[in-house]
Amino acid sequence: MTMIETPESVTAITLAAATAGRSRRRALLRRATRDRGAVLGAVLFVLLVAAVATAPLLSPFDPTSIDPRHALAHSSRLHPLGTDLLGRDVLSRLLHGGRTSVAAALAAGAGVATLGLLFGVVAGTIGGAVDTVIMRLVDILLALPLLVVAMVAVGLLGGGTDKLVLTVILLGWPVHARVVRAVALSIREQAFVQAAAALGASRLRIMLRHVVPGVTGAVATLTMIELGRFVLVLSTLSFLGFGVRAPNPEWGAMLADARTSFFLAPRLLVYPGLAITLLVLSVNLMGDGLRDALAPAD
Amino acid sequence: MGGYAARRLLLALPTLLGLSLLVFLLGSLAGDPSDELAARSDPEAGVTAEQVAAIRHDLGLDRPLPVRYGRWLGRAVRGDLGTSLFTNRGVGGQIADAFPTTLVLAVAALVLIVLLAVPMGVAGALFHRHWQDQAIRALALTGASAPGFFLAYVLVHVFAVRLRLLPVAGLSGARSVVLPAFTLAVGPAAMVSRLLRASLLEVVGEDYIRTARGKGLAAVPVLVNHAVRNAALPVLTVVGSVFGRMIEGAVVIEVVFSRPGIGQLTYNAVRSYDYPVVVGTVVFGGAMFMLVNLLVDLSYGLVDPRVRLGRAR
Repeated sequence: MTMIETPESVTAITLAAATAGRSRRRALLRRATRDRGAVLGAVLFVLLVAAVATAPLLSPFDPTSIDPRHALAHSSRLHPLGTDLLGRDVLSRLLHGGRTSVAAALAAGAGVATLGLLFGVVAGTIGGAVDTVIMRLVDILLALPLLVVAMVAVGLLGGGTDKLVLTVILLGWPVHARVVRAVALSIREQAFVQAAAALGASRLRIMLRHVVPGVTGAVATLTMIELGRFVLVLSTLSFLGFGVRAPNPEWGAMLADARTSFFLAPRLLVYPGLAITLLVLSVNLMGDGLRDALAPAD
Repeated sequence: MGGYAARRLLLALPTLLGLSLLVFLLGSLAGDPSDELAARSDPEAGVTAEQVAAIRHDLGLDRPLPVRYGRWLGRAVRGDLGTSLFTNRGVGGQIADAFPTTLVLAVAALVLIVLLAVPMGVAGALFHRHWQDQAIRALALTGASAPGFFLAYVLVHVFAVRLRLLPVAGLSGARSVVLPAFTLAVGPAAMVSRLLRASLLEVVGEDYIRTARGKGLAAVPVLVNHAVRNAALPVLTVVGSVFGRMIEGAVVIEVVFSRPGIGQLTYNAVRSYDYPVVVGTVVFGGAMFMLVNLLVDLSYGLVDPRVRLGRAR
């Protein structure tokens, strides 16, 4: 559905998928592929990633080479999307800039999923004081405004995409941890897990063999839903000037640059803006489809 | 209910403490502003080590971090959030000056969220799985996917530059709040409309709706009078959390539209390493967020009399 998701609503849905084994996961994927929106999102996402991954091959120009004689050129065969205020080729900058945006969002998503999985499974399986400590930390971190704290951290400690991603990971995992814990709690009560425990399986074995496979569907869905939010947070911080340093392109930073020629050439704002929107839309569509597939009640 | 509220407020304290400690730590990791302040006080003459040391002492930066945090906390609980390094004004006063601007923006956005989301949600449920529902879904998804700073410039281009209906930026009466509030409202409105639709579809299956339809009431009045009220609860949660997070959303909106609110205050303070202001605004924002969430939870009892707070456990 969207970018900001309340953990509770996701929990309710993912609980339904708590026991998703391999066959259930296949069924889930089948249901998701029946959703035309999700398929459209997947196609869009693959196209975008392929385009930015092959940027050096597709780009007609060096994204940082300046050509003041051809500043603010309209689109032509030479410059398919025209040039910016410094005469740099917009298409090349868009393709190269997307590498940073996509890679940063994927890194943040992977990091958050890993930390959330780790803390959620540990809290849900071990319980007791460990659970209490982790969940108190989760409550505190969930009460923090992600964008503001990330801006403060990166602004005060110095910018850079790596620090930006690290901050988002350190602040972003609690949503995952909460959902994973809820699912892990219900898995712990399942008969086959209790049987394994009765047979003398260690807690580590129960976690790795039974709990982790059971929560993967929930983690995948939530990561997809959160990915859109990460793209938006990361590009917003870049737009505000915390992140990629000039002259290297990045979509949020490109939009910020384009402000100087807002009245002369508003199209320069449109290209990076549309690129971000399409990227977020593609992951939102996929997340939407996955979630509906998890909870086919609707 | 009073006991419940008191317990919630008590639980908010460790969170606020953690938040202030976190921002305080970040501020001290960022470095010592004494050199820059000394250079700024007298740009012509060279800066002596004594001057820097005196400024450092004045700011209390020659003390260890736990002592500094303790002193800050001791003053903060009495309402003194310190002084800005650059404007020499009290942080509390600056926040008090900026807050109304942000509050106006947030309230206007909230009104727009409801105005946009309720018709979209009701229509989505009414035309469930028809093309209208699909079109609303596509619109909502696209709106939620566009970053606020992009949406802002698109709206400014259309309504301020082309049509000249509204001011481009700044604070000039009620009309200047329309575009920023709309920008801020689009994403949350999309989410709330989807949630309302799902919630309505759930409620529509209940017996009292069938009874109302059985009495001969038309579909739309039943939906509006009976279903919306009962579907309001989950929606209220999201509206509340969205309102609480307005400080967050307001940063980029206030910077784009040059509105001197809390968001812009925070942004400028981060840019100029004015960490007393940074700590103050972030803690204030966190406190606001928690307060709004508490109020939302308390209001459940008003919307839905079946909810009794504080009884469980």
